[in-house]
Amino acid sequence: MIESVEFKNYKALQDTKLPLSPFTLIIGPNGSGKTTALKAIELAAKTASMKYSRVVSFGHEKDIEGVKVKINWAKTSQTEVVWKDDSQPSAFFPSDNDFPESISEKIKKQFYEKELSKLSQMQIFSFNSSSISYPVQLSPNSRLSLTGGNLVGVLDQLRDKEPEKFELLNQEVNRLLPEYDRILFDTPNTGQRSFLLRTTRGKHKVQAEDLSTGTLFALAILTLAYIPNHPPLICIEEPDHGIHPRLLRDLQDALYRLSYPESVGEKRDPIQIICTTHSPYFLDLFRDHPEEVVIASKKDGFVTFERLSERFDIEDILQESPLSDVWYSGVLGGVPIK
Amino acid sequence: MKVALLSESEVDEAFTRIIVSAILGEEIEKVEYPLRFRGWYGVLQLIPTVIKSLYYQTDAEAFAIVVDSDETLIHNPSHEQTIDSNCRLCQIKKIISETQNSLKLIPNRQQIKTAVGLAVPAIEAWYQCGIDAQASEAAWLVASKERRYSHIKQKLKKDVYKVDRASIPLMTKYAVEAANRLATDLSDIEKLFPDGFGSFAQDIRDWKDS
Repeated sequence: MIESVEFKNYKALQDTKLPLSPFTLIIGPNGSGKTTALKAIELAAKTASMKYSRVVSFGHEKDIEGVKVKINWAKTSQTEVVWKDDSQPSAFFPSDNDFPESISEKIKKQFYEKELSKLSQMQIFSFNSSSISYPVQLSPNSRLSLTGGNLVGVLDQLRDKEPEKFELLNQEVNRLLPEYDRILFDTPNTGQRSFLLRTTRGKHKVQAEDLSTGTLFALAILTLAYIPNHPPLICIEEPDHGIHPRLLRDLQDALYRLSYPESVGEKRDPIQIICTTHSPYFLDLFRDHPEEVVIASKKDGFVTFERLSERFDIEDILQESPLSDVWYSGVLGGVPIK
Repeated sequence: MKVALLSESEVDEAFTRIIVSAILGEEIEKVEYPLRFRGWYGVLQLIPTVIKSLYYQTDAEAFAIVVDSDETLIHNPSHEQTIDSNCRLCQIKKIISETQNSLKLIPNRQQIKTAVGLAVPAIEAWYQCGIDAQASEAAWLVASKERRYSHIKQKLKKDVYKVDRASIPLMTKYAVEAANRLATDLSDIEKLFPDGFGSFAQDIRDWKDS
């Protein structure tokens, strides 16, 4: 798990640290660096080259330190990725970690390279209803695309390879969206697959393209919670988008299923989740877990991140008002400044 | 009897439905839409709208609401005369009374009967009645002076649900189990939570007499 990520000279993230938990919800005004931070983590994980002049913070082009993303893994170890120009960055693995002294530097380096390689599979989802409903050509080892595309391929695979989980998913779909009781499949053209939802009353089949945007988004997120083999980090931009406020608690459950598998009796590695939101309704669900909320603020082009639980007065503040109202008032920061 | 329940979640509604039916001695019939509030802060603004809608737009005969006391005052029968502004039960009853008095008379439409419950400090304490000796209004009075509320609330939830982040199905399972257990004999919960639950039960029993 990643405990925090430090950024230096990366666009608006000139010198800041993003604290993370197994599940993290980032709130803040538009353009406050939420998505930039996620993209920076992805670039660092992939140790990908990039057009240096496009990512280095304005006025810091000549900074000797270059652009730096430092990943602080749990248990005190770190990985530092540094870009100095357009070429591939250097990755450093400082030696102050938890390995016994007998383990050689080479083995430690291999371990962290492997961790970084796993992290490079991270996904940043931003769902789009057209992508989710679009029929696909079936292929083995289907993966959900970053806009939710290929959902049908993933569902088809889940049904064939993990039928028990597919049944649980069907039950969950019915619980959240009682209008529907089952996910069905269709073959619109040779080799193609599309999905449908069957209505509980009348058993009518509704084509994916005829489902509402919110229904498609909810289905995509529920599916994420049930499919196996996730990367260690998943980011979702505004998972509440299009979803009725009363269903947001169920959405939170679905995401917690990934990051706290033990809470639903699953024995597997937790998946770290980072979400962004502008929804006061969604934010209110985290009142009892302020350590999971991070507030992004931007002042004079300078981004900062603050974990809500790190405010010494948070318990007193929340006795008086709902979290969403406190956020909206501006006393927590993370609001547009005009 | 057709009863509208205003609750914070489907979990609380599942619990309250069983308990209200048990107190009433008959299975309640539900109004068309489940009514929800989002935390304590919106309740007082919401109640007049809910009462008016139930009275003018539905055939609901009764209305029940249960809220958590959190750190606020435990209700006391002496409040009936003074209405303590730090007692949530008193505040809700005051709003209900003001709203009921403002309704226009409609021929053949009876005033909606109401019941207000105050779970001290949270509804999970009611679930623990008979299981945990610390689950009572008296025990909470002592405990609240010693520790921070949020820690007590977290511990209570953990004791009930066994995990830090319980899902809605899991919470509903425990809520329904607790409600069914308590419904077989309400005397313990009325004795241990006399002011928040006992007065709620009395309100409901009074429905039959009015």
